[in-house]
Amino acid sequence: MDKQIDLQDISKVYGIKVPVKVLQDIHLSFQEGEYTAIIGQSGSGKSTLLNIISTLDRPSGGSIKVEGKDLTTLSDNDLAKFRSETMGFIFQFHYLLPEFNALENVLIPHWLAHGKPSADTVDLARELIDRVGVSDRIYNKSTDLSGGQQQRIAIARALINRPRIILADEPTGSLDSKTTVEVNKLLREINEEFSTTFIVVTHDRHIAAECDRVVELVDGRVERDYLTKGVEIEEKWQDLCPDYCYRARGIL
Amino acid sequence: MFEFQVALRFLKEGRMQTLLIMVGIAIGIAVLIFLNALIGGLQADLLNSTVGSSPHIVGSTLQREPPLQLAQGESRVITREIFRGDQERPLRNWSPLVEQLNNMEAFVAVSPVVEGSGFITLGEASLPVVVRGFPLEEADDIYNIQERMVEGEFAVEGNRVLIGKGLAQELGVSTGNILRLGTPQGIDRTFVLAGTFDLGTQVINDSWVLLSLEKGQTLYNLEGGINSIELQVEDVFAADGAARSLKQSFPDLEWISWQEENADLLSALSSQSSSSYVIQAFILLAVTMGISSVLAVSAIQKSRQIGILKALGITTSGVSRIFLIQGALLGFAGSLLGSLMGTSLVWSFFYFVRTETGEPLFPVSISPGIFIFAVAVATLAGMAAASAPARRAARLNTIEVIKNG
Repeated sequence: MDKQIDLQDISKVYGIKVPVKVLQDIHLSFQEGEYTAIIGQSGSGKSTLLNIISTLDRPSGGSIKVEGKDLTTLSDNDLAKFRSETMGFIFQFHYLLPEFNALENVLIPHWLAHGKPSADTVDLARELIDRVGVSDRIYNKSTDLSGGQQQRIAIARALINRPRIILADEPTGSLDSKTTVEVNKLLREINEEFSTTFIVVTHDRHIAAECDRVVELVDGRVERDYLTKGVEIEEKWQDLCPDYCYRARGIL
Repeated sequence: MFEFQVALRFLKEGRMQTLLIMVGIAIGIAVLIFLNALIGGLQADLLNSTVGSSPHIVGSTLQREPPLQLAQGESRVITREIFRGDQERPLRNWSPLVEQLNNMEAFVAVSPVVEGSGFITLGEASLPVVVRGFPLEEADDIYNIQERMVEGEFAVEGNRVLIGKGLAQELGVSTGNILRLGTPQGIDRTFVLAGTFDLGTQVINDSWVLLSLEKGQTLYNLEGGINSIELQVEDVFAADGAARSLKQSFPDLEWISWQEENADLLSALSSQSSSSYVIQAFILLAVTMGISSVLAVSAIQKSRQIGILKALGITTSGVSRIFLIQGALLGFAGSLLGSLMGTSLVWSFFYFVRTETGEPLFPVSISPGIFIFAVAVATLAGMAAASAPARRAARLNTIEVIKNG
């Protein structure tokens, strides 16, 4: 299978006087339809990596290709266009625009990429809102929605342009545990339904356990990269939570 | 347009903020319009009393010196008529020229004039006068005499003459009296006083004697000639341009516009205008700064929204547009409101602030152009004011916003 996303020797350095290498020697690729979790401690560089994949940030070195297109050569505006047409985003703080209602929020990426939405697109938005289970709040302002409902609307928004890639940064980071389970289930279902590539940054190993593949970052390097698809649950947890992890929790 | 929608929503959501700045802009624009109407009214009034009922352009064969020394110290602008000395070279064969001028659209009034100095003797008294002969109807288009008759009849045919009310008082004559009018050339004739007029200017009221063109020609022995042609144009400020083109078309005559003769008035008007422009510029500056500060706050308040829109694929120019549109909308809506407020202010001043005699205290005139000007300038000022916040918002780092929630 072709590599949908291909990162070669990506590095990222912050600061000029005191340079801090946040990412180094990153070689990663992602297949179409793959559901990958990027895990790691705070400061391990996982969000930075996601920002680079999502083209919100530019790498200090290396190259990134998405669907064969070299993104390091594109201008900011071309990147913005590419982003809106190819990728969907889900953030921890869902970030709906409070000035718009739920339906309008879902339509924003379409509006940005293709202009004023047609009736068909509005129907699609309604379907998506229905799919994420918030159809009774379609005309509510986002401030009138609960955290879980807002994140569901944000998921519908990520899907409106039928993106081939969805990038999520701690999508359940600000949700309670029951809603977390529901939202994760929803993401997984969407992945299977539309065979959308998912890259999810999380510090929650339960979420990672639900993925096809886990990339673990330590101090800006890929520490481990392994498939969890079709692997028994005990074995998964053995991978996800190796000795040091138990030790850290005082179990061993 | 998406950016327009976002700009509109941003303004709608910040209700109080939007309302306050709109009222601020509106007050600024209202003052601007009021000031403009007041200055415009005062100037129009001054202009009207100066050149409204006098010729705007005079064409004559005579080379004349401008009456500088006499105009000095005189608060009322003195028009040229009084200074015109004896005309040496009459203009003959003038009727084709007058007809041609009459056919030109630029001129609303054209009148041939015979003019000279003279004196009226009445018993012992002898008073110097300015004698003007012209076709009364044509001259009336310029001088508006008929409406300003004090007594008697508005007529000069035959032996009848009209004189200024000051002159009539000084001579102690009234309608129907006989006057003897003599010229330096030694010709003298008797006339019947048909009526007196008040043209609002003392020197004219004290010295003018009006008679028919034919009698004037006889009195000065012009043999059918005239001394000058007086013209009025529609827009008084177009007079010097019209005079220039007349100089080109008819170089045999000297064409002098009112502007050439009233340089003092013009410079007074223009310095009044420029001080009014300075005030208006400061008002606009205050409006612009108000918009700018509100949008600068808005750019910070909306940084989350801007960050998320950038993540979703809005371009940096798109972000700038959101703020430029907000600035333009504030300027546009605020100036519309201000135009309304300004107009009501002007009208209430016009109707409620009156002198003891019931006349409006100030002459006011609102030109429709000022609204277009105010709205256009306020809209542009709004956009200019928005440019700094727009740049700031466009530079906003998406990642910072996303990271910090």
